[in-house]
Amino acid sequence: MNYLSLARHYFAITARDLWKHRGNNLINLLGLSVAIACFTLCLYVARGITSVDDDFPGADRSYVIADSARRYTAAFEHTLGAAVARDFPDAEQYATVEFHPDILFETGDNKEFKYMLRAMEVTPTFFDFFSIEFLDGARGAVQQANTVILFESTARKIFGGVRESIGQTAYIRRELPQIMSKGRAEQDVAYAVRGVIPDLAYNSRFRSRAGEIHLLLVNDENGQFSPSRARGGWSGAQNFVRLRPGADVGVINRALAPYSKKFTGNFHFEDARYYLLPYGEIPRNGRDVAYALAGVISFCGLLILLASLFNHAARVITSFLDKRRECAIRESAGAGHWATFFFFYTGAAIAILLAAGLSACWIQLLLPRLTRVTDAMNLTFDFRAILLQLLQYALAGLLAAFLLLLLPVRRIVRRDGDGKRPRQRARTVLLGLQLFISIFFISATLIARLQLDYFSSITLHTISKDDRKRVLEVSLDQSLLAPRVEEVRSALRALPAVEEVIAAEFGFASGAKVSTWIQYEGREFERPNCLFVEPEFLAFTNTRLLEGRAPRDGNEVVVNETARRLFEKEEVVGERIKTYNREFTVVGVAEDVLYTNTKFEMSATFFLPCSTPRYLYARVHPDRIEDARKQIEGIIRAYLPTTIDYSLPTIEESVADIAVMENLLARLIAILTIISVIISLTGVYTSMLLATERRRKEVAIRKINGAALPVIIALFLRPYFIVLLAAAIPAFALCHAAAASWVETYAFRAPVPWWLYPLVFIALAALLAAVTIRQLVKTARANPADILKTE
Amino acid sequence: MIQTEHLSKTFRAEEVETIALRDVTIHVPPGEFVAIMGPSGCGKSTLLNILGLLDAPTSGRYLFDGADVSAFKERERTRLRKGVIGFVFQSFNLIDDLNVRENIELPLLYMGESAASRKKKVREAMDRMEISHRVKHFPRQLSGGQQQRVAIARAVVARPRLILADEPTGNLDSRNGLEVMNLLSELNKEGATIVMVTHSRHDAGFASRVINLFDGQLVTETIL
Repeated sequence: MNYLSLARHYFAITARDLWKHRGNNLINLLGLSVAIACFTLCLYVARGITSVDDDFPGADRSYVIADSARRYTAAFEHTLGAAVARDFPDAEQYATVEFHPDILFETGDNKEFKYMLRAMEVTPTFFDFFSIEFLDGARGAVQQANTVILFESTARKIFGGVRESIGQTAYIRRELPQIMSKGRAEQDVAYAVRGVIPDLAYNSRFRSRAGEIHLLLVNDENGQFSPSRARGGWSGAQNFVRLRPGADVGVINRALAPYSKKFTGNFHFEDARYYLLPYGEIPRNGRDVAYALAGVISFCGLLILLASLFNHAARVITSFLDKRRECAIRESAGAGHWATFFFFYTGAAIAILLAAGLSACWIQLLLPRLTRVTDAMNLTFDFRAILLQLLQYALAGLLAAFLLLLLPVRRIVRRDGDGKRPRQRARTVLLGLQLFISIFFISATLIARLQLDYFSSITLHTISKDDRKRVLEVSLDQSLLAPRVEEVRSALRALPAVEEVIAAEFGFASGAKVSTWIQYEGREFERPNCLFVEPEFLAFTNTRLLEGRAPRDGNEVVVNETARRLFEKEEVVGERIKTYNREFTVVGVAEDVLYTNTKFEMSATFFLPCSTPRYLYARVHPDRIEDARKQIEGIIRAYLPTTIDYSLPTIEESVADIAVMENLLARLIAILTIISVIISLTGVYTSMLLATERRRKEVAIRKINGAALPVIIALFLRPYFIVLLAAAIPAFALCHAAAASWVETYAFRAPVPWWLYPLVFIALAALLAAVTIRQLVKTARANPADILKTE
Repeated sequence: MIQTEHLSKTFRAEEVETIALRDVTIHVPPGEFVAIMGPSGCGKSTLLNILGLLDAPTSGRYLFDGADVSAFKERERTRLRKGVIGFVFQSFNLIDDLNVRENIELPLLYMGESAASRKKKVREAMDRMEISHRVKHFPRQLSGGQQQRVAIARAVVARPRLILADEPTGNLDSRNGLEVMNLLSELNKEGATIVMVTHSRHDAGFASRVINLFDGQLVTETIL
């Protein structure tokens, strides 16, 4: 047999067939490609989320020093790690790390290249502790003063390469919050780049805590670890310790506990007792959520792919049925079992390859739209890696199709059917499963949307949605902008599009919750929320004053209703409160307004005077928002080089950012909803195609015996509605339970209206009917005489 | 009961036009048993489909009970067919997924008969066709003769005035074929009008008139 000719013949037949039924094939290919794209992305994301960075030698013997409340960063002194290594013979190595979220990194002959970067100050032992590989530079250089070690991507971005970075000089300035720096201005200090190391894993524990980190500072004379820096013992260092093999952690923990007395700074947690928290158990921000998310994503991706593959198989089987006669003729012409098999397999394989190609297009199209997801998860998509992954799945798909198609072909070739329509239980179950997922996701999307809308409606509820969209948040919390507040404010006020400008010390619309020490009649209020704002703040935000008046000078404050209860007095106007360095008079009580995520109860809020403005809020003319945004950006850029990213969100966007995880989750669920609905409907469509093809004769007989068009349509739709109902009941129950437990974690909860579930059911039933009706009408309208003649 | 005037039917494919019937005029009064004969492809089944309101003529008139139904839409044809016309096919055309009882009660179901009425009429039809002992069986579990009995039971269960049979014995052996023809004769004697397409001269002998078609045209009519 000439296999090449045969393959060419089958290919030609398949191409012709694809074109002949292009409508159905297109729907099938779109469904399959969306599923493959979804599965590929899901697995890629899940793999990114779940891969860990604890595979360095001795990771199982490594610990971080934590206190009894499992805290391991706040109020830990940087000398603690070294002390433990010194005092405990079983401690083999230590490393200490502290984050510097925003540093100004200046380079070039005249410091003309400026970057805002994230840094980690580390002890020289860090590199040995975590077995950090150097791409360039001398490992021993980390012992030298003021050393910068760049991560690879930063080295490439700033200096154009790894080798080119070595020996470069940079000037670094840090802006510490005033409360920490005690008013000392940071001076420019020259640093030398002495090494380049690979980028941190996307989900590294360091990255998950501090976001993308660009460089490491070692032996920083101006850093937190420097003995010359008088910091009053305060530090936010993480102290890692590696024990020798066989060391008894229990014994060390007992001896370590009292170190909290000696090494705790002057802030708080004096009663905490120290212990060694295994490195693998260090909480990563949202690790549980991330793992759950990875699991859900992989599971959904897999289900969607399986469902789609089965849908594809159903389409292929439908084409088998179309070709029974052709098959018999081929057999009589000498085609054996395998020849017949490959006759069908060629079609399936070409469809899979086409779908894989289409998937690559979907992914290419989707990637730029996934930046919010990737940013939130610290993920970077490598399109080439994804393509490789896609190729692997396509090959797996070809193999799966090979195995899946063996049975139906054998049945067709042998004609071993008993004449009775197969019950297709597996297919019904799978269809039910697809509909179950769709119903679950649609309900979940709506519930998440409700919760987010509710959240948006109660957060900063005094400012209308339209107003929020025209108030721009101008952050000046950067080294280059902080000294320019008044200049920027004057420039903003001079803009014709700007109606009003107020200043605040923290971004009140970004969910920042700042506590300070507040004392009243000798007792301390527990963690009150402090908004450092100007007197016009209440009027600017339309916050009603329930009692008293707005502050007139820097010695007066207003409290909210919840804060009033802390005083345990009916009349609080005129009362005196103290912060750590000042005394204030309460002059008014304002209504409660939520400034944080709805997870938190309403905070007792004190509106304190703003002494160091870092944020400006500009209310602009509603018709000139974009103009104003461009003009303000122009003003900012006069102080800030373009190498430094800057964004100018509206309050509406900032409020949305307070619930960034919720928004992300809602977005992901919405994407999965769309995909699962597309796949389900594709499944329903192909299943209906198969059913109508298989039951053509039955329809003809029923018509001859008096069945009208609506009866035929109902005959086909009824089982699908039953499956839909059977899928809807557990899906609604599960979704309701999941939503209830999710919403339970919020202090403010949106009620789930009773009509949501029937609405979802009706909507999906309508969609189901809509995608099948054309096929059904075509089947029901077919001339029964013609069908009986051909069957 | 049935009258056609200059009936023609043309099938059009993309580039081919096939004339199945040309200028056929026949009259079948109530209670008559008519056999239509002719070689393969002469238009017998096409004529039967038009008479059974499964298809519409391209031109000419078809009067059913005096009313012109040739231009009826599908919905009207379906309504008229219900309970008035019964069909018997060469290949039985039973629904594989339905058992004997369910197959027989199909027309009654679409006529909207009550469950009790359906049960009674199905029982009577099964008794008459001597298939009561097979009530729960599925088509694949029956012999060809039994399947045709079920098909006839289904065709007569609604007591139609017209029975159209398309080579009803074509798939049966001579013994079963004879039984089927005897059943049709009985139904005719009870008042049903029967139009039967057949190749068999023997079967045509049961009719009172034989119409011969050739190339879509009526060539002879023989009264037996």
